[in-house]
Amino acid sequence: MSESKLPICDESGEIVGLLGIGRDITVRREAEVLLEQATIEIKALNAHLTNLVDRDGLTGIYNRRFFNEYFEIELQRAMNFLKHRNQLESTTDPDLNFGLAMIDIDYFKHINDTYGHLVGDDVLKQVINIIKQNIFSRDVLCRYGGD
Amino acid sequence: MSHLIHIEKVLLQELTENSPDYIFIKNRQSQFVFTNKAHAKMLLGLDSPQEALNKTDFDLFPGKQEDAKRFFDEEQTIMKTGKPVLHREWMVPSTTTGETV
Repeated sequence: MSESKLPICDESGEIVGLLGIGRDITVRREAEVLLEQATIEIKALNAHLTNLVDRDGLTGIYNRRFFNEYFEIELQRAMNFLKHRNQLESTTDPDLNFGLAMIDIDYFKHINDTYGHLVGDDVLKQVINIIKQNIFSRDVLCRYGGD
Repeated sequence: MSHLIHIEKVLLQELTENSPDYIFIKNRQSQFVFTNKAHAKMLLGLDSPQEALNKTDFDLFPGKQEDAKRFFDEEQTIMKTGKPVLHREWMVPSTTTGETV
């Protein structure tokens, strides 16, 4: 229940009684609790879906789809930075402050062909672990293709 | 003019009587001088609002004198100081299901 009680005055301003008004808010409270639970579930589900869409299933690092999206944003950011810097310093320096490294595992096909795909998968994971240990946390590691 | 006053009176009466919100008025001695259907049914457990007239919470809740005293004290304070209590939330055992709501 949600209740208000207010004094009632007569013409001279003297308090002669009291008015009570209240409402059963049980249903509303229950709905609020349900809504809160649903919101938490949707947030968790969204995080899960984002993860599915952005990540590579085998290695857990970002996938090609995410790379394409992220690359555009990063490139734009670097170009904006370049423009502002050149304006500030009145230069026409064409050097972008931007780095991209593509890594390919040589003869990876041989590993798959010789030891099978399970071993190949394991090698991929190990290589990725080694890369992870040697990059900065702000760097973004993506799997662009098979290896 | 009296026609308009009559309409206003009917409107007010119908609104208060049939409101799903509970509405009551007590006098200076905390006796009920008005209660609507929702209040009679939901909180007092009465079939008709008329049954509550001129009664206090002490009369209506013989088994709950402590609660009645608490309400009485609160109402007397409101009427003495003129300070209202607004949007206070509280739990009450439902008169229909017995559950606390």
